[in-house]
Amino acid sequence: MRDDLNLKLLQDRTHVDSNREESPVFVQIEISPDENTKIKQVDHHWCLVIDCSASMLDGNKMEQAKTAAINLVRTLPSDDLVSIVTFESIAEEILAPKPAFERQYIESTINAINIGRATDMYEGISLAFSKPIARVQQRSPDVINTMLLITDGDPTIGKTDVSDFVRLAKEVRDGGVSLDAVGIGDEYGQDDEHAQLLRQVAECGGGAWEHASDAGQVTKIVQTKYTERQKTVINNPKLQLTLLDTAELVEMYTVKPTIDRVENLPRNGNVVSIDLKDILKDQDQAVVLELIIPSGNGTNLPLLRAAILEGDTEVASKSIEISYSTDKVLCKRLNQGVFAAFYSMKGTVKQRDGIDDPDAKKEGEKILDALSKLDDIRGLGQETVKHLTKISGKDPGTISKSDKTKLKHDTTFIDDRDD
Amino acid sequence: MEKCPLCDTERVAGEDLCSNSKCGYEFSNPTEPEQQPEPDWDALKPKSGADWPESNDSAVQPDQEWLKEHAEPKDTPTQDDVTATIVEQPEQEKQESSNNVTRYYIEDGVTPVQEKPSTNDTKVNGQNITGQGKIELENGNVIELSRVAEVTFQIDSNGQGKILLPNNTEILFEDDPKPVGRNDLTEFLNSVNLDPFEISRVQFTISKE
Repeated sequence: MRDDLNLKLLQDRTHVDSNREESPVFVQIEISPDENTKIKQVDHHWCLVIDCSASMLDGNKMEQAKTAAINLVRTLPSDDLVSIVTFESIAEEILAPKPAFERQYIESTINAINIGRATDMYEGISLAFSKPIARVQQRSPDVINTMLLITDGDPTIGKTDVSDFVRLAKEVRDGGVSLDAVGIGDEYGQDDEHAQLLRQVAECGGGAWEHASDAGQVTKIVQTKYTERQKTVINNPKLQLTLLDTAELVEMYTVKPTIDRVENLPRNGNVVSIDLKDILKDQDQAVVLELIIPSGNGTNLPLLRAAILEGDTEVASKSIEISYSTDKVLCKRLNQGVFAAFYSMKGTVKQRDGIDDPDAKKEGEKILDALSKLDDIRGLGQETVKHLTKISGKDPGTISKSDKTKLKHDTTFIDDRDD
Repeated sequence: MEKCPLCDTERVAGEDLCSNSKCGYEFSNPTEPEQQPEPDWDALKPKSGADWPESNDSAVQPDQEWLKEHAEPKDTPTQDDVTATIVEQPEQEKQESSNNVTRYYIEDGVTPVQEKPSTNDTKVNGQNITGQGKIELENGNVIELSRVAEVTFQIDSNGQGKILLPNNTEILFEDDPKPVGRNDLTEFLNSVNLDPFEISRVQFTISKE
């Protein structure tokens, strides 16, 4: 067990009505490394998957992507590895994994990238996973692998179905790799089918979608990714939840570092296990979930045990309990913040879908209206309601294509900065 | 009928929690009082020989004073009867009753060595209470203990104050305080079967009156 990782469980109520057929209980789980948390002292492998389709010529995007890649190579410690896969009508591994101290060779390879035609993004990701990353994993199993996809468009040839990308990204994540995606400009994600492709690829790949409204931002984004990844505490962690036998896990959302609904909750008996993003030293993680408890009796029943797993090793765990009572006062909600955090995440996801779907937007607004009737919202709940309020203020019907993509990106994380 | 603002399910009278089991919305206002039934005017027939008071308007109800004087006694008390049976507490009893309500207070500690307000960042409902003296605790207040843990203060149906720890261990406030400092706070919070205590010294003090 690690004592340098804070795992906190909060529940909205401690008692449920013995006689009520089904009672909802909301739970918030927070994982926060502190100043004493030890960083994993291992080498990293950065596999850059760069779009070199024709559109990358516009707005200096290709040059900015090259600059970002070169700056990353110049920043990396000598023993970290770099590999590059490019994709256009075909995908190609133009740089097999090389240590960063071979900077001159790597930079000349980057500078030699040529512009092609179409966008076979699927093949680019697939090749990166099956060749350079697979090779590094075989030779150096301890190395932390990060795939960084840089693109400005949607896939045009090869496999273009979102479901194929989702499957591939999950495979990449299951293989212990983090897949981050950087989208440049306002041309990607514009057709209905691919409206959330980069976000979905990154989420399923255990990484994050970053948006560069202009190409000049790519270098900064890549540098930030590098800084974050250097502080990896746990690679490929899992959150294992053991529920009260009679409890049902209804719905779950990740709140930090990115906002998403956790789909297809894998359940084995009363144990649910989900992939977390890599735990980074300066990055809190949080999830919220709703449980349904049937009527019953008893006190201090083990409602939920949460454990963080690194491989098969449990590194932290915490439990919460629930009691049945007929006293309605005892059964009242004690922590409004947990309930608000859950519903503001639900509202945020609705608002995100609502950018392309007016009905979903209405549902998101309804949730915000309901939350605004509540008093006494504190902690994470206060933060998430504030975020929901902020993103709900914009009407997607009246904003530009570029602002729409930015708004979509704003729905994926809670920005702590003040406006 | 009031509806749940989240799922539109109609609110069940007397229930705060939305009856849709997956919704979880808790109404903050009490349910609307049930409407008083119209008086059964037939049951309030005047005693034999007594006439209804004269009125120019047939829709006007009989004068209440007149009814009290002329109506037959009934088994079911009217609203006026109930009100009339309320006996006001003697002044002394009222005073004693009020004194029996235990109030709980929290105060950020004062370091014995430095004799200045501690900077423990003890928070009640998110508000830092350092240097603010005694703050009265209310049922449901969330106390953040020096960034170490969050606990909930609760007053149970018997008026007994207690702290609910994250794992639901309850700490009762009784006599004989037990001092707990910053270093042993986590251990303290994780312990079970606690003796009566008062968290004091460098952390904060919870007291009752």
